[in-house]
Amino acid sequence: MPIIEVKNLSKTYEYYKKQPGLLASVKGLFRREKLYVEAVKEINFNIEEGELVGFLGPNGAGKTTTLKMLSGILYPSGGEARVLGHIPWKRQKEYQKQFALVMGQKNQLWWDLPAMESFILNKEIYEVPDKEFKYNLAELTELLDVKDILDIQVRKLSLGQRMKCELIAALLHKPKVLFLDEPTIGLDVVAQKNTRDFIKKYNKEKKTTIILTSHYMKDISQLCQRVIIIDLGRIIYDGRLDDLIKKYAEVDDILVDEVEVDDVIREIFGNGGGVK
Amino acid sequence: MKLTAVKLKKCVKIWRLSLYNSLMQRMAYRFNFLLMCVGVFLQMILTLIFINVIFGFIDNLSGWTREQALIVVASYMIIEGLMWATCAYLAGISRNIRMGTMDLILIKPMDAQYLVSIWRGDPEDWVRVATALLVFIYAIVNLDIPLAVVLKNLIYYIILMFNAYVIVYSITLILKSFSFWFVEATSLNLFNQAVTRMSQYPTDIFAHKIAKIIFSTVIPLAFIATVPAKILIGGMNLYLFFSSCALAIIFFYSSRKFWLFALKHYSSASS
Amino acid sequence: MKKYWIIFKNSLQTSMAYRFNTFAFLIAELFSLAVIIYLWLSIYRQGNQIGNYTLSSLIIYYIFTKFISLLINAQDTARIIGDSIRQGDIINYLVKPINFQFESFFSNFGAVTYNFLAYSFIFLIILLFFHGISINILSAVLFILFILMAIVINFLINYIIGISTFYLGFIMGINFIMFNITLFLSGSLIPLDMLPSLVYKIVGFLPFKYLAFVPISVVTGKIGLDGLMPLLAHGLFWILALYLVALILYKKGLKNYEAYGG
Repeated sequence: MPIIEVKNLSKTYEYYKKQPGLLASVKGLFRREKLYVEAVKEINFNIEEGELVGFLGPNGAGKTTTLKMLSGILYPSGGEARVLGHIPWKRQKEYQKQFALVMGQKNQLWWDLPAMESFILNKEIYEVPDKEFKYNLAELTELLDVKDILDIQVRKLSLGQRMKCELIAALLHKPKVLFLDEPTIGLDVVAQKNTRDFIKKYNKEKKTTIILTSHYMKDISQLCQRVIIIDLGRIIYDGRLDDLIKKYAEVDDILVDEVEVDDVIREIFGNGGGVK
Repeated sequence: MKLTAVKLKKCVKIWRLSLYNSLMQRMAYRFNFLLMCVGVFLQMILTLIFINVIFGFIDNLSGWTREQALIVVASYMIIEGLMWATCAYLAGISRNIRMGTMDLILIKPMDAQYLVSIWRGDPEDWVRVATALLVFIYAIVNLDIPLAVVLKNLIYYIILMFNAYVIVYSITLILKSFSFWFVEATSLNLFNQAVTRMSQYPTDIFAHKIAKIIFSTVIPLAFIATVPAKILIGGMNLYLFFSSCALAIIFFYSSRKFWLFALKHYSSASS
Repeated sequence: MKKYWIIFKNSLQTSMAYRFNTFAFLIAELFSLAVIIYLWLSIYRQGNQIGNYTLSSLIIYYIFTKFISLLINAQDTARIIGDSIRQGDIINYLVKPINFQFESFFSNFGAVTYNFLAYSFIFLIILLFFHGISINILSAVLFILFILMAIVINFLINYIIGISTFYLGFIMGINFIMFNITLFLSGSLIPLDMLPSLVYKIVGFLPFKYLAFVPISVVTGKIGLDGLMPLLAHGLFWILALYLVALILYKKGLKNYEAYGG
């Protein structure tokens, strides 16, 4: 039984066209063009328990939109999905207690308070029993090596430390499914490596099903055996990473790590890859 | 039955934590917090100065003496203070949808409306409530009516004030739900404040019939401060009392329905 | 100089994009105006003149306070500057060849101009309704002049509050206090000449009166031509004083600046 099942999932946004320039702005007061963006177009995939899957794609490809639908934040325009047997956008408590979402550069931690206070709040919201909370906290703190910074105000922490605390806050309730949206964005090389190592270790030990979106090839190559490449709302590849590289890339593994997704996609699929 | 008790306990716990966190956040900038308390106090003082200046020219405002008018003002301040002290986050929703942090609240296993309502409280507004209470006490002690008579109506007053709180909360929620559509509506808060501020003075000042009707039903301003004060001073009025209760229920129910509706149509700020 | 024109233009455009905001702002102030009018209507029921004002002249007074308030409060300048400092964005202005104070001013002025264009028509209608047609060109010109003064003084005060972030870390408290103080001392709450004369004299020395009481008194003809020059001079004195304070605070603050967060 796949943990995550997605069938023909679609999401269309509507927005107003905004032209640059003063004259256009004045015109815009009276008449605006309504445009539609098909962010996600009928995507299909299944993910089994314990898999660590990478969602690759350039900006605006639809990765974050997909994650938001699987988190229940957005309603789809069409199609269906099930995570842990639940329909995500029904936002049932039983489902919400079993997954977690971490978005890079968007914190759920209270800015002016020590991370610990946010952990306690999450503990109560997710109804984590005291003993379990203490245990999970100790374990995570050990794994991420953050014992000394838990009592420091979040705003005083470095970006890397903040991300570590965000991960702890998300994992305190031992979610079965973890959605990571650009978790390494903005981090320095060392912090990126630490984050990746942690995710890898955690996935191995807890068998948590993880979907990770990124536009850094290195995140994907280091962590995921399976990649799903999304571009312009469609899945253009779903399979093992090594196969992808073997099949299309004429470069060494080492070089592949250094390039950005856009280059790889352009290399692989010609100009259908979409530009930033 | 047991499940509801457990749920209630959890709600109270989260609320306590949120109040604690809000206070701790203010304490992170202690001096600023002190200034905010001073600011709130100052705001009250300015209103009282205004009242005093007005009553320097007249001895009654559409039938309300100075002390009676003060009861209305104090009652309004209590409601406004309680709203900000408990549901301050509702004022900030637009900003958070823009920053996408609303998403992170939505994924939590708790009723989104409850979480969003109590997520933050402004501790300095307890100063507002306290100052308003002082003014209230001063006013009822200095009324022409013996204190004992007034105190007999206190229980009705408290119920009516509770209704007023519910009504103001519901109006705030409805306006804030619009934020889901108009992400830019950061001044919905201003609008909300301006409308509810209209109930700060005895609504009897709205002399025209049309105004009277609008402010008694569509936006029941009269029931926020004027009606509780009226019943406290003048004694029980069944019609007003039951209207107040009915409005509170209707508004609360409608706001809940509208919130759920708005949530359904929510699309995040960025992809 | 061109870069400041672009900043002004961008700010104007930004305001245009937030049209719902503008509308809500207007409705909020109109509601507030309605309450005030009804309030004074009830008060005047018992007499014809209070202080130096008849009911209609008082209503005109408050219409103007609302209009001016909508103009000068187009932007929460103090908060914007405060956020910019706290979040470190101000660094951009240190590396680019642009003056932060002027950038802030033109951004503010763009928002103010937008509000002026958006609201003047409506307020003209309201004024006509309560006052009838009798627009004096000279008064209008003087009004514009003193409004400009009000915009500059208001900006300088808010700018100073904003850059106090360098020293205080978080200026929400002081901004809140100043907002209320300004409300009172500018004459937006009660016309300044309704206050006891000693208070009036003290308040008269401060710059706040230029933010409501002075422009309104000028346009309603309360101030004779001989009173204008000293008023103008006094105002310019305050502009200079505030500008110097702002300059000093900014330079010193920048030196001790330590960017927050990563």
